[in-house]
Amino acid sequence: MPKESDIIRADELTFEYITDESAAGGKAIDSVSFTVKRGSFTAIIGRNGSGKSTLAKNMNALLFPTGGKLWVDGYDTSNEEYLWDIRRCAAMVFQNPDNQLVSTIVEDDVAFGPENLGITPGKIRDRVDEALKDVGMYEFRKKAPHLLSGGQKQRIAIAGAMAMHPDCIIMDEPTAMLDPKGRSAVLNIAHKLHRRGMTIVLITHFMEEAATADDVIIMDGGHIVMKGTPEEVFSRADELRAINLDIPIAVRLAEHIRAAGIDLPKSIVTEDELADFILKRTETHDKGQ
Amino acid sequence: MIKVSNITHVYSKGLPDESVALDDVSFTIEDGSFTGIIGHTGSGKSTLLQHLNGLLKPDSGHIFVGDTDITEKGSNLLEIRRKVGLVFQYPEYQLFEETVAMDVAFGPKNLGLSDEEVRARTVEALELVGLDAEEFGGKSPFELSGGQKRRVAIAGVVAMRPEVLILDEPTAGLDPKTHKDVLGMINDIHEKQHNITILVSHNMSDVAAMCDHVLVINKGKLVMDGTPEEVFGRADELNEMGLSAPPAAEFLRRLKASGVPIGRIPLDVAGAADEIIKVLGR
Repeated sequence: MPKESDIIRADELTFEYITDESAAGGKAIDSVSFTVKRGSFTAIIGRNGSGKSTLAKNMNALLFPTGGKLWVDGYDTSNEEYLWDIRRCAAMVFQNPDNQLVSTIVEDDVAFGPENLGITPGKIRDRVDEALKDVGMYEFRKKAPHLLSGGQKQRIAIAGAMAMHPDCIIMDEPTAMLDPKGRSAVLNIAHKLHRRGMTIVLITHFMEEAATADDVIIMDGGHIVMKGTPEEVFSRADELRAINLDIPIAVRLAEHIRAAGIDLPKSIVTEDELADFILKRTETHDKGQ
Repeated sequence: MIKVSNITHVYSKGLPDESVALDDVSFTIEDGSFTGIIGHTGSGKSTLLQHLNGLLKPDSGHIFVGDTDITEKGSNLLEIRRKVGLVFQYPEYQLFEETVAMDVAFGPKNLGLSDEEVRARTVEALELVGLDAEEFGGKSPFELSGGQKRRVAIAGVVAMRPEVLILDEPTAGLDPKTHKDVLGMINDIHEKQHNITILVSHNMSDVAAMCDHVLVINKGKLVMDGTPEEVFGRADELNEMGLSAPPAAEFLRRLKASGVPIGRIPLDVAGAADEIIKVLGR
């Protein structure tokens, strides 16, 4: 069977938490439809309570739709028969690495996933070494995870996900608890895996991280309020502000520059693009003099 | 005023894994100051904070809060903690009481204040962190949102009416809106209480916008001590330590390095944009 070009597909997906107070719960995800292209880097943004983490848990079949449908690698996530196929395809990395490291030794922790897939010990060894090298933590393989920094622990968690050899890694705010150094290390690894062909779904509220994605989905109040390329989404800065999201620094600078009457294309949303624009403008200017 | 003179702290002294966490650190923080402390993970800044409210004692050196030497043997720890309130990272994990009001009242109660005074302080602290005492006092902390929980945890420290309020990464893990709200709240408390506020943060924009004084810790040493303009003006040195100036300033530095004739390097977005406009509008 040929692989579908959309690794994740949601059709009017709805999720409602069951609470004691019948009416108060409400829908955490309310009838959302979208696709994630195989091999893409997709960022999902929204403030706390927007439904983005609930969506991530649905993609990993930790939660099941209460309405609509969600397919991961063609498998219907509401069918429990496919649970392990779904998790093998889409691995998950959570916000707090302390909540997902289970072993007292780094390499045992990374081996935990493949062991559960029933892979032979020799192959597990290869996968663990490869994954730890990929995240730059091989030299720490015999260490205890609790002695590592937050960023290092998060890299171990990513190695654990990679050792499952998934097609897709879903990262739920993996950098929220990290310092700037840890944050850029994790983001660089995400991009490295993406360049290698892996699908990355990055849930974040750091706009600078989202500006480097192929596709951006913005959630608010359980709905998708915008989706598109970073250029399409971040050029609608006023709407982002209206739902209390931050604006990437390049977009904020561009707004000021435009307000001063300088013609700056709306498509500029990253610092690289803005720097290129300014450099070109000043170079031609110099030549003209 | 806080006066730290020549403090040194060594972990595991005399053992093979001995490490110098603080190395001859001295600085002064004036009354009413809003001071930022920056340094990357492992720089020694957490060790420093723990000295400021007496959780750790230095191997040598002294710390004065007002006229009191808090490093002196037999110093009254309760008195130190009343003067210096420390809000840890993710303080909401420390909420433990049945109701918000009981949690906030825990500190003042331990000071031996009358019930009436404890009640008054609880209401005052909740109002200071922007929570209506009537509405939230009776709620369980676990019914609250992440941002509200954090406010309650900060209220618990504010209720002690500390002369010095130290906040270690108070906005870590918050979304942009809550981040802004919590910083606004900290500013309000500072203005109303006229206390010394010490903010530890990785967010250089916040430090530049809020602080009048910045300390930089690297490898256990105090390496910079000045105004935000002075400290972030030494961005090359900060970069070498794995730190940076605020993003807007870093962007201007990058343009300048590629040959764009940038003059001043302001620390905020509007100021940075003005510099770019000058260059483009020539």
